[in-house]
Amino acid sequence: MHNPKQPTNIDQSRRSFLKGTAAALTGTALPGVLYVDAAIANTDAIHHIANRAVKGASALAPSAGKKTISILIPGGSGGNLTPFLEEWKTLTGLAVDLIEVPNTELYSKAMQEAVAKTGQYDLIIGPVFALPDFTEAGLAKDLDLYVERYQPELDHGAYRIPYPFSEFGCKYDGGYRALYADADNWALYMRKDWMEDPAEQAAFRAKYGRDLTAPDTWEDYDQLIEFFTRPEEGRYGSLEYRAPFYTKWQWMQRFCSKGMLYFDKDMNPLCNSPEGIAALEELIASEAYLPKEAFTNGWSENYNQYGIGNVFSTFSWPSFFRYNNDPAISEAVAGNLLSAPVPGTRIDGELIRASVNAFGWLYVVNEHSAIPELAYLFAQWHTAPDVSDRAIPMNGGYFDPTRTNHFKAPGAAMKEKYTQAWLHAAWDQIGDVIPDFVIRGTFEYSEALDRNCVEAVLGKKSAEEAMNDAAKEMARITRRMGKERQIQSWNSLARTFPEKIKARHGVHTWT
Amino acid sequence: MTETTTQEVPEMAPPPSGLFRRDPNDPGTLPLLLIIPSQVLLMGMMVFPFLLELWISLTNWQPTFGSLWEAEFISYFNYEELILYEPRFLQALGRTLLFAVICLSLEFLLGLGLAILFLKAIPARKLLFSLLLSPMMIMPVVVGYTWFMLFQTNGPINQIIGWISLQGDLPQVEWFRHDATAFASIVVAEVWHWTPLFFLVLLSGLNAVPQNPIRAAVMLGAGPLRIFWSVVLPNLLPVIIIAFVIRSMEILKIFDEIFLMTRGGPGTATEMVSQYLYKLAFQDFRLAYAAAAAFIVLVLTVIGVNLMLRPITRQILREE
Repeated sequence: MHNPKQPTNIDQSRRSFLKGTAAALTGTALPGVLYVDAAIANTDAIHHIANRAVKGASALAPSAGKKTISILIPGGSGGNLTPFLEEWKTLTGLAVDLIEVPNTELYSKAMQEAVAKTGQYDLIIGPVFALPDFTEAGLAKDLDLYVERYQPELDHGAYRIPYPFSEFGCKYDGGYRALYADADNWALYMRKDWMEDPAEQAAFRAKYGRDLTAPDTWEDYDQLIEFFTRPEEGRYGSLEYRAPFYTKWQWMQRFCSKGMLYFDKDMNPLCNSPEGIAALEELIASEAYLPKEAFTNGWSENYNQYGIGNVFSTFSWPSFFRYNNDPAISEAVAGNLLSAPVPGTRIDGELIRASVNAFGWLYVVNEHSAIPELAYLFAQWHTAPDVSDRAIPMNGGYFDPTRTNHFKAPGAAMKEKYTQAWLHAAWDQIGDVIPDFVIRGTFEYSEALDRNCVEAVLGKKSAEEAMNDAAKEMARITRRMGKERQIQSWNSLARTFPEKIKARHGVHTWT
Repeated sequence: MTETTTQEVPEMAPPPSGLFRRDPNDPGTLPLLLIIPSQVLLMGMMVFPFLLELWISLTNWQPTFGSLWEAEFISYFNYEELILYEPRFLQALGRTLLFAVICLSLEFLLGLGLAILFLKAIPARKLLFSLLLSPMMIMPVVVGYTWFMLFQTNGPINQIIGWISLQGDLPQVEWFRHDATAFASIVVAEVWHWTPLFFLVLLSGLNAVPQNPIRAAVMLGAGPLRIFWSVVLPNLLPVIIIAFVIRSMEILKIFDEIFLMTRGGPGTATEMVSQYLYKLAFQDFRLAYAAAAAFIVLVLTVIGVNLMLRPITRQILREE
């Protein structure tokens, strides 16, 4: 269900346009300053959401049967939380216990809790694509009442979580089920120093007849990575993911930028459409510009390998920029990273981009917790505009800028870690964000698509065979899950796609 | 005349049935009574989960459909689906069987060769013996990660191949990218890990072979091969069978090495039954379907093990 009160990405585009126009008219000399929203930068209102949480928790704490909030967290994410636990305890008298499990096992642990119903964890930090499964399994508590009572301002107000994150990161089937903590869509990262090299610029112009600039389309991008691939010098054009689990996200970006959705109105898979096959063929063709490690790299290997400095570009999460822009970590790349929107496809003169939200973490309150309201209040406090602005830039965590103020009125630490230029570029790309399979059975759909993409990439199947097989498997999963229920869930998710894509499929008319 | 009196015989209670029919003074009764609690506990621990698992496999339960007690009974549908319409399951079964045959053969041949070598006095025998046994003491997860690193494109194995190759340059074999090389890499890891077990068991068996028949065979002019084939091997057979049975059951459960090295890939080229069951149960959370698949594997394992043990059971029956 779509909430009519909630700003859509049309509203957002309109606002961006008006603000952009105002900027052009009144202050072209100060573009960086104009981007900052002074109205939300210096005001007490930024503290209201956290204060409501603290007030609520302080009132409930004395009568609570349990004084410690247990949180199941993915391994390596503690950095965003640990420095704040003492502060929370001072404010409310409640302790917090972090239970860390390996990243890849978090979903399994959470689902086991859904079966066992132990209440061992009061809060779970889970991936966004698991929210439907958590909800359907009776694990994610319905938060409508708490949201009404404590007003976290998730999808409205100056500090809101921008759409579509506020939708697929907080809601399932129209109801609040989570607090989103980590906007995680991909951007294109390139070597600024390589692009600014006059010799490279001249050579590129001579070869392709255009300037060496950030790409608008996939064709532009393919030219760039072809140009910078020089195996004899140990240089490669791209470090795109081709390893299992990750390859589907590369495909999704190319596929959706062709104006496509994963399924049609009746949830018939569209991956075997001509656009789907073409997207996979493009992935296969671009392999020539990738180092061999791209076929086995997971995210951490990818971050590290790019940091060595012999690859021109990659697609990655916000934390990639933060990581590789740190001179202490990556001497070769720090200060030379250029962030740009994911390339798109020009259809009927319109440029369509699709930046996949390829993970993203959120707080889920365990339905079986003995202290669900206190658990919720901790999550509200930790994701509140002011507290999260301090928590996100901490080292050793997974959270990235999510609320409006993180982008438009960042604190000093946030600005230092992400840079104003990156925050500006990331904000501008939010309108192009596409969700992952945020529907029930997420792992099954993802695995079916990913495995077939990988098999085509490895030459075990043609692109057409792979996409036909993926479509068959996905249709079978839908039938088994119950088509009617899946269609309902998909119709909600389809509404969170970028306007240009939705318009081509008439999603607004879907019922 | 003597008066005779008839003594009244007290009416006997009906004989107790079952266990209570036993005479409490019978020396066998007490041990039986002592065994019963543990047997009941054991049966409860074995039979109840077994029956529960069987029942789950006959439902459509998965947590995202609701709780276990609300699950719909769908009879043998999961089994039918797995056997008739799930090629990936059958492929995983076939692949596991192939993997087991290759690994067990290699482990047996290498283990036997090493055991024969160690029958003789060789230099630094004790040190080599300890070194040879050490792989099987390492945790599978460590073995998996070690071989994952060794088989990296820029890793030491490619480096060694590069030195051996005539060109002298690194051939850059992408071990985990192709079906055959990925499969070969996990075979190498598994054989390296578990050959020591065969070695140990076979060495013990060889040491226990009676010497008199061997001496007799030597005196009769038999050559080493003939002695091995006709005297040593028949005596070693029960040990070999036990080693194969233990390793077969273990190899069906291989998980860590594959999870770390290939994750079942590329595609599903190295996906074994345990990886497939893990995916069903802990990624897709299709618990009823996974239970059905596990039951099929259990039945096949029981049949397989019984077939392997047949020579031993026959021998026992003959001796009885």
